[in-house]
Amino acid sequence: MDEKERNQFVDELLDASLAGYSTVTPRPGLEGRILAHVRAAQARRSWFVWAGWLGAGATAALIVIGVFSLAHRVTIPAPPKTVEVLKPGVGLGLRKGPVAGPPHQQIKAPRKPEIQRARSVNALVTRAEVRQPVFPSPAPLTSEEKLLMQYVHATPAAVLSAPSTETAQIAEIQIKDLEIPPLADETADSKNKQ
Amino acid sequence: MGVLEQVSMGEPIPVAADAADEFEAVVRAHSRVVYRIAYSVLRNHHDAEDATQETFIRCLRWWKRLDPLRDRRAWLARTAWRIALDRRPKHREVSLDNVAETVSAMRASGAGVEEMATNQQMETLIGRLINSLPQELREPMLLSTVEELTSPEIAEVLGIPDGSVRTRLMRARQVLKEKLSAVLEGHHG
Repeated sequence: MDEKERNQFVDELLDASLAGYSTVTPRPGLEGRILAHVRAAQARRSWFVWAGWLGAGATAALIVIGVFSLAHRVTIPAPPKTVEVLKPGVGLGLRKGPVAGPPHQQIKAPRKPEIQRARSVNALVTRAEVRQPVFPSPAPLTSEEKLLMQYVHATPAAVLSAPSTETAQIAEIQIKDLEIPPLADETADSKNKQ
Repeated sequence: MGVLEQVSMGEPIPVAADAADEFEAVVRAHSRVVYRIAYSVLRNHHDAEDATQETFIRCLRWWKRLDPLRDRRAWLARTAWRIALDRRPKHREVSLDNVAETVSAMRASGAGVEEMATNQQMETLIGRLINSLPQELREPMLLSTVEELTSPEIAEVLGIPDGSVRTRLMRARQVLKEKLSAVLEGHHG
């Protein structure tokens, strides 16, 4: 084989080989498989989209619930910004009770309604007496006073106004006149001095 | 009724029957060229079909932004090319030393040019020769083997001027011819 023939052979072989290199026929039904695959992929994607929306909704609901509960916890009545703590017997001297801290000690309440700080301030305030703008300051009733009030409300007025048995007994007591006999020694001494 | 009417759920894809029919028409019109582009790179029917399906899924995703017909074809070709390159294993330089048995066997059997060209061993040899080309020559050569693609379309897929495509194709063909000639001469010269 001379050079010319070899060149021609190589050219023809290369052309034929390159022509058939990518001239392939896909398996039958390629379009149908493509469309089915696209349909399945879109269904999966749709499911993921729905799952994503559900997850986002659940997250948003949790955030709303958290914010709502936090807001309700924050609405604890904040103490006055400045309270004056008095010792018993100091100032007007009308108040008695356990007091912590030095007289006229000022406690600054927290600016931010933080729960922990509010609780600590509340604990201090419950141990102190707060000077109220009304004098005398209204104080909460004690348990004994509450019982008495209940008794007064539950008892008829006639019963309350009737004299008790002790009073009746006392009324019957008759006190005798006081008789003091003169002392014999004192009379004798006076006679001797004279 | 278009097949894609059932497909279009919750995505920026055509929901109207006309659009679904149009997409189906695009699939039927261009699926072969997309498949052949993928096959020219992957050299495997299964992988080429997977790449084709992925190409049309991307097409559906970007459907509204694609301009009519010719742009769609160019877009499909470019997307298929990139998907195939992504799926292709890393290119390894191919040695031509082990081609000797292939060529000698074909020559010894006395087969003609057409018969040799359709031979599986010859296809393997051509594939190895193409893979031995540098990248700037290999890519236009691979795309030129897809008979549906014109030179301007290859230029658009590769993002290079049309003239560069022609020049590189000529150089690539020259290199392939020299290598094939050397292989044949090495055993029969």
